[in-house]
Amino acid sequence: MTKTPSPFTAAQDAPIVGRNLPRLDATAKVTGRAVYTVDIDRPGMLHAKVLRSPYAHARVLSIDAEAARRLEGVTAVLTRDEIKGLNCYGTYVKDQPIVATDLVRYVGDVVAAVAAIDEHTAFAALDLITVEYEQLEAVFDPEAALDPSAPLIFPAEPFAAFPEYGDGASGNARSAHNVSYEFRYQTGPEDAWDECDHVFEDTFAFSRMNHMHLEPFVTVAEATADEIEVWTSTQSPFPMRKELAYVFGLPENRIRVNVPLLGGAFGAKNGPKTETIAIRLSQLSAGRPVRYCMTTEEVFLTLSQHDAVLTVKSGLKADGEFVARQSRVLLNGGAYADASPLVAEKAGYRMPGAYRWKRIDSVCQAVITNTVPAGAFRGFGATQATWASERQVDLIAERLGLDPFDLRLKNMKDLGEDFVPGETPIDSDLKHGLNLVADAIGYRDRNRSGNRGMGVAIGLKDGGGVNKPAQARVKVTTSGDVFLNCALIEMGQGGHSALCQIVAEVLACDPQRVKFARVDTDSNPFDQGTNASSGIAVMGRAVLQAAERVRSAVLDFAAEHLELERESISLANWQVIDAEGSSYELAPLIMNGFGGTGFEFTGDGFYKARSSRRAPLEAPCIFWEIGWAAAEVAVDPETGKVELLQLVVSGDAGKVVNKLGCRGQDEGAAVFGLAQALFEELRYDNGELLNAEALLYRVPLAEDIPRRFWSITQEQGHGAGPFGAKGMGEGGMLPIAPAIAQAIADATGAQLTSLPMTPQRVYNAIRDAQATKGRG
Amino acid sequence: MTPDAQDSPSVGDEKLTVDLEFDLNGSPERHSVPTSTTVLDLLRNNCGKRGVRGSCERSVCGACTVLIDDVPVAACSTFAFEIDGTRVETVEGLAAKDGTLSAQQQAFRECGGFQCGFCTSGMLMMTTALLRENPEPDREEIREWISSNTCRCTGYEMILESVERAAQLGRTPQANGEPQ
Amino acid sequence: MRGQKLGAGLIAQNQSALPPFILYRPTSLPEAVDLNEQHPEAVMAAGCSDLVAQIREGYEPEVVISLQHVNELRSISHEDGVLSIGSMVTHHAGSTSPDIRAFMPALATAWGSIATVRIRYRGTLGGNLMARRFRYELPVILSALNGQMHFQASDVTTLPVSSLWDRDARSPGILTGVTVETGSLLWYGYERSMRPVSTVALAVRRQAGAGITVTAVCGSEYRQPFVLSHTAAATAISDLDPVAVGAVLASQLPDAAGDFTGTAEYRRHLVGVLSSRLLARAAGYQQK
Ligand SMILES: Cc1cc2nc3c(=O)[nH]c(=O)nc-3n(C[C@H](O)[C@H](O)[C@H](O)COP(=O)(O)OP(=O)(O)OC[C@H]3O[C@@H](n4cnc5c(N)ncnc54)[C@H](O)[C@@H]3O)c2cc1C
Ligand code: FES
Ligand code: FES
Repeated sequence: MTKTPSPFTAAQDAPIVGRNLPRLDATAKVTGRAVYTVDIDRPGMLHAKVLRSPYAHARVLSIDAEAARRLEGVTAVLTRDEIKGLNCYGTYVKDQPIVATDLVRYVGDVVAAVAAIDEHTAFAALDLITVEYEQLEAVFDPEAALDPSAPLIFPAEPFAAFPEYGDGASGNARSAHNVSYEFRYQTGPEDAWDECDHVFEDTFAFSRMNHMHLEPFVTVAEATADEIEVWTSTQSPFPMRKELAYVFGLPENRIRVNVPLLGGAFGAKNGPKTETIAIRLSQLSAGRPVRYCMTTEEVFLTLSQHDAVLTVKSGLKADGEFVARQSRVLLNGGAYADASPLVAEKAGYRMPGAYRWKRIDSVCQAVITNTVPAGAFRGFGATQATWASERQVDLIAERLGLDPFDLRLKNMKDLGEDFVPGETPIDSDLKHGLNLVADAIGYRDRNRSGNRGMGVAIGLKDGGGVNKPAQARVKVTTSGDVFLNCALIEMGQGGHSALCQIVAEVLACDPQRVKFARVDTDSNPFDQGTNASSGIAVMGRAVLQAAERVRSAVLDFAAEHLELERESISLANWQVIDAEGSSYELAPLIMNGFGGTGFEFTGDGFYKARSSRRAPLEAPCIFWEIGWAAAEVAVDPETGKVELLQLVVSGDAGKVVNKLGCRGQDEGAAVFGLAQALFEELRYDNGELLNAEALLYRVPLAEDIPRRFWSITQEQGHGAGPFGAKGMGEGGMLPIAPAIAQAIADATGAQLTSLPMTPQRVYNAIRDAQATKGRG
Repeated sequence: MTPDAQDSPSVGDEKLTVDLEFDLNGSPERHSVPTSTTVLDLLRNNCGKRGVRGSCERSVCGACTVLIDDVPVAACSTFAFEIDGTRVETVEGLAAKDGTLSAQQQAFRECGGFQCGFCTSGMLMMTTALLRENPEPDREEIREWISSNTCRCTGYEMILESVERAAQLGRTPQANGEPQ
Repeated sequence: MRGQKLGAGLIAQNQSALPPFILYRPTSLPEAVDLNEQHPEAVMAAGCSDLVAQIREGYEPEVVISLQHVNELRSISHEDGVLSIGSMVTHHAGSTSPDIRAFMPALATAWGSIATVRIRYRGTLGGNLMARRFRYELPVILSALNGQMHFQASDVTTLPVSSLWDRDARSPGILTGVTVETGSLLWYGYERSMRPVSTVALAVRRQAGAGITVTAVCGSEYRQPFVLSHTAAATAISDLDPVAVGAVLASQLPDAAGDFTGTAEYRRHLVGVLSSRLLARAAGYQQK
């Protein structure tokens, strides 16, 4: 058994400074002083509004915007005529134009945009635009879209570039009709299937949600032909800069991306949303600032989660030992690729779940349809995969007459066991966590009377991003005031606060003395983006190194000037402490040492997992993000209504940097899972999106949370982040729907395979279960 | 209506502006604004109260919740003319003049009743209204009130705890004065 | 979202960009009626929570009559077996009103269960009805009670709440209030635990001659409320078989009741279950 080495075992037992304190952004947020992109106001700022396609699929025959251009107060009108020579964008597949060119591909696709002195004028101008469309046949369902007779949504092949995968993995753009990206992964001997005594194949449906971040997509841009500056609500400022450079054909050092606080993101704020339109309009308005802030209704028409159909075939030995698993996942990618390739990669790769298999064979296709584009969404790939994978374990347990909990434990990987060859070994004790949540709700001696039942499930994902580099810089002024300069985005997760604490821990100072410098790509060191729960584990390592380098430099300087043994001194509260415990003020020493003007000690940090040809996804993951959950439900068999009585969620923080922060991540993620399990979904009725509006789109409220709902933050200590920490934020979402589904089955015998588990679905499943029982 | 109507102050002899007087966080305010102005725009743009957040702008999320004569109201869906002669309170009015946080603010800070913070102003104003109506609410009453507003980040449990803590701090003022 | 004026697409209208409107703030009902006569195109503003949504859907009011200061519309009274509720009564005021609690506690309970605390302070009876949204509940709650809407224009019009969707969208004047006859009412209950799939409001009345009538109204998110009714030759609720009556009521639900959140078949089943549960409660209540 190979145990993941934890580089900071020494600090393991001492709590990190600020661990039990409020987050550092607390006061700004409870006083209303926190500044988000929506608050950015530039002198002479113009306002942008857009015209969106009323059709799911149509050819744009003509656009006449002359009257709009002539309207007083309008500074620019943007149609396909104004984007000639500019590139399309997208994560691997560059297929999304700034505004529609020849085709509109979904209801809500942007056809034209206007900048004007105020919103009212912008709307008035939009109302003057005439567009002639020729409606085309549309396709909404991924399965149907694969059929060669279905309309081809991209007649011309968009530019695509994707990674060179390692052992067993491969990627392919446009592998089939209307497929934007296909990911395959195989490992183990194919003849493993011959060992199987049972083979089961089941199909599962995963629903589609909207991110519903409270702060909408919003950008303020100031741009000319040669220079672009944006203030924007993005999770990934550097990839954004790169994408903008590509779209507008500018050098990256002519583009500056500033990012204030984000009012939530959940994956949605990766890649251009409002940016390109605001920029182009500013360019066309002689460089005046343009603000483009979507309404919530528009957010619904901009990005969503991927709904999916997952077919899983698993082979087992007679005693329930898992042997081989094959899966085919179809993701509904919507009209543009956005992050679909990444989601396909992850959904395909994560199909093994927490279990041991000799043979894995997965394929995942992201299918283009005439629906809202789908992209990154909290836990992506893993949410879909876990639903199917965990659900199938329950179905198999039922068929073999085994307890689903025992079947899980029997096949669950051990700490340190390989996930797949070449990948980072599992770095949490999975069984420990499963027992923990099971015991927390009293699973073993549960009382199932009154149509009650319990379920326990696990989900995991490779965390920390793919082959992700991060850099950070720490500066300390003469008087010991600290700056942390890195491009981690604060979107609610508490990342700024946690990273400041890491710096404070290394410099042995009060975390309040550490200021998180403004995020802007001109002055920040590079970062690949705030996603994949990478903040603590990846950026945290870079920050730790930067802080350690500063500390070293300071101590070197002090040792030299105080003529002390370098090894014998330490730093605390901006004083140097010698072996005898005497302390020396640093400020006067630095003033003297640097010509009376003072100085800033600066340290840079960098971190990236080592690339490896053996690792299927370019590099082994930084850590495994695990979510465990247990649920108890009471089901009304007459109506199909499910009441959630208890829900416990647990994650492994490795090492807690901030207690409130960790707890909030698990509970917030669990509630996303709860909503997806029971009611939240974008409702498409024959291609028509029925609830793209805040009142009709139901998100969980406090009243939807079970009266017994809590989280357990584990500190197993095996993480690769600073002090043994791991990332949090997505794991908690993964096991929730499967745990609830299992609890429903435990209560009623009804096995649900589609999300959300609406009363009608539950009621029908109960009837099916009764009918089967009656027959058998 | 034609687009340029906005520039004209009147249609026929009808005035298209309203004169307002109201009390905002304890200070008198006088404004003359177009009749269609919402309280959200008035507070954010004319009164500089940027802590009042707009999100759904259709009464659902409550990010824009302010108190009008002690009653929690969605500023996005209330016209400015409706607050003429009333007492309006926003998140900016919660802390004391010297910056000391109110019991609600301290509680949310201490219990982590926020993440991205976008819902926080509204949640704090709901809490303020609830505690005025009932200084000792139980969990279920807190849940019912907090269910008026949306928080996409926290999963609510830590908000419910924050409100309980705020009630407790409100009852024992000596517990105040936490380090910030 | 709204349609673009030349049919070229969709626009995300917001209230911030609304052109100013002519605003009237009458302080009495006659004044309000008068203004409405002069400006037949005017829109009434009650709690404005739905009006704002209409604006976002493209509605541009030119004349707004705010009913905020028309105090007559906030009255609640119970006289001669008739409960009268003014159209400007908020959900909060209605559900906590001593009169309603005394004479129709089940209505107070039902009313106090809709929406959220914040909305209940703002939303009004008139706005909830006249918004004519399928998903709002007072049409369901009051239709089951055979509530009558009273409008005032140059003359007075009375229409049953259940007729809200029978006519075109224009209101025949200002809705002044709703009346409910309480004398013959034996029992009333409202079941919203299955919202938004289905809600059921159920009233049991003694018939003038003989017999008992059960009226159930089924509400749902995407379909208008359906009124279902059954008269039995019984003398007490306990004479009714809840399951059988539930089934009779449910069978009246048309196929059109099916929608994305529930097929007509499932909805019929649900209405049968919920109605029979309400009736069982009614019988238990009556026995006491
Ligand atoms: C977040 C949220 C949740 C909600 N949840 C629920 C729920 O669970 N159940 C439920 O039943 N409802 C719900 N509602 C609706 C709410 O209860 C209100 O009743 C509704 O929004 C309209 O009330 P209002 O007084 O604000 O109407 P307004 O917006 O002022 O008016 C609505 C319409 O009615 C017209 N009107 C109003 N008064 C009169 C009158 N006297 N005469 C003629 N026309 C008139 C107006 O002109 C306008 O067209 C919810 C609303 C929101 C925003
Ligand atoms: S912004 Fe006002 S309620 Fe959502
Ligand atoms: S803290 Fe982000 S919405 Fe509540």
